Amino acid sequence: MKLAFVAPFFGAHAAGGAEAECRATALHLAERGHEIDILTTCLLDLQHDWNVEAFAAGVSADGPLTVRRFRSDPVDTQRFARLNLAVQSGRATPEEARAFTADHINSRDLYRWLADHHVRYDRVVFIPYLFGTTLYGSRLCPEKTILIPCLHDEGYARLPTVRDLFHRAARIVFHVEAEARLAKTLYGPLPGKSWIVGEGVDTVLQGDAARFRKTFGIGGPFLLCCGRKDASKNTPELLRYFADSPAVRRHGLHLVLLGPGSVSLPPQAQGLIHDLGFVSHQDKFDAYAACSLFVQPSRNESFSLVLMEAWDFARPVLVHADCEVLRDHVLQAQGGLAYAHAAGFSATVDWLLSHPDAAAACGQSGQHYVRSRYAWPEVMHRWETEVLA
Amino acid sequence: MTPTPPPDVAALIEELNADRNALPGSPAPDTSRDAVADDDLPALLAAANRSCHIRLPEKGWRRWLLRPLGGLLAQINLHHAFTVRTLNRMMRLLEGEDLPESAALQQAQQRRLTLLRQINERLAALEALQLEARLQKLESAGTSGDTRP
Repeated sequence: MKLAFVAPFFGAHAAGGAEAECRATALHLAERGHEIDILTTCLLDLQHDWNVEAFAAGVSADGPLTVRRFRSDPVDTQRFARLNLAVQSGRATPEEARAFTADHINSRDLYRWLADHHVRYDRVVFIPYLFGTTLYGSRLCPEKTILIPCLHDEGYARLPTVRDLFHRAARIVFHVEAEARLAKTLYGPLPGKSWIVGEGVDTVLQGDAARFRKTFGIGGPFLLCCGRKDASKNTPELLRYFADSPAVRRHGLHLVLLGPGSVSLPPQAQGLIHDLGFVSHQDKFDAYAACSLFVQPSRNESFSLVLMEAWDFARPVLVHADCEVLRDHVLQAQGGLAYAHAAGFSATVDWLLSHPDAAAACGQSGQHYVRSRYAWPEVMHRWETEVLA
Repeated sequence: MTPTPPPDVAALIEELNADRNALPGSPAPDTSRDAVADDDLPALLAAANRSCHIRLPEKGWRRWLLRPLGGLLAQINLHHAFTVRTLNRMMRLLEGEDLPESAALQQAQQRRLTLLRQINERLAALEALQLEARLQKLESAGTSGDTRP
């Protein structure tokens, strides 16, 4: 089958869950004999300036994938920042909502090319929902559109253009049931065109706990948190809960943060929190192997790859109970606990560290959940027998 | 041996999040002044004074140097346990003692230096990547005159 994946950013270097999912899914489909084109912009990723192109427009190869890069339209960043605030807060006027979509990442060159050439593809996959490339691109070939929305419960999801997108797409691939429920709540029933496929995860990962402790000079038990550090990922709240938790002090627990971004550390927990920033994949795997518990504080996740990786290392996890996706994962996997407030955080940490056998059983159960549901062969089977059938 | 089954996660989450105001696992009672009844205050202060006391050096120039502060230290000894502990540590450092904290501080410093080196290496790699991309862009613009695929 000949497929196109349309994404605002693409490459091994592009930071972000949707970017990683796009590349990994395309590569695995190509391995199974499908012919894949990637249609994307010349921009590096979400965190870098949207008016500075890092790549030349043109055709290149990424392993078996053909990557077609197109110049992106200029973005008025000040105007966009103002509109972004209005949309995030859910108080945007219809005019502001329309202007927000038009001012997002768009590429007229890409749209022209897709309009002329979509006939050569059997299906066109758009990921994620909130970019001009998806909102406008999918209008050019709605009957062939497969949408991987990576949907979150946020102000953007309530834009009228996003509602139209969900009704326009021929097929929709959700990660988990909670994401499909959210879509149904926001946009109404989407009968006969959506599947819960999940996201493929590399399993049986290898890590060396002793190497991590030696490299970074961290001894004793620690709680691990991976991902971007900012308010949207709820990192500041985690730091507050950690600093105020009596259980943390009682068990001599440290907190290790991996990932981009910066947050101010609470003074009462100085020396207990280790912000290591960006590390290599192997350092991250070593950290999973070394940690006592893994925590995912975000309230807005559509899947959480890092949670799956922690479970692949059989680590018990803590998640925020306000995130329906994460809570569903934990309940179905029996792989850890969820906290709803500071007292709950302290109590769940205390319970897991005071019951090491039960915590280890949670980790094992989580490992079984990931390997039986989200290993690549399982996910590719669902793609081929359900989504592409 | 039968492996331990995972606990009933749903029930545990319910139970452990039931009380928003409780912070279980606290190692010691709250002894801040606001939380202590007036009647207990003298006993708590006496206990704090027994465990924390700024010691003037026994002899030598340090004792001579610190003697004018004697009255102030006595007042601090009487009232503020945290300050007393901190000043005690400073006194011990002044007397050349190698405190257990110093190893941890040196380790942390070493780790910071390692991380700084790693950040510099990665920034250099990123700059090289950006430069290469820019060169490719210039080359492609110069050779074909058309950058569209």
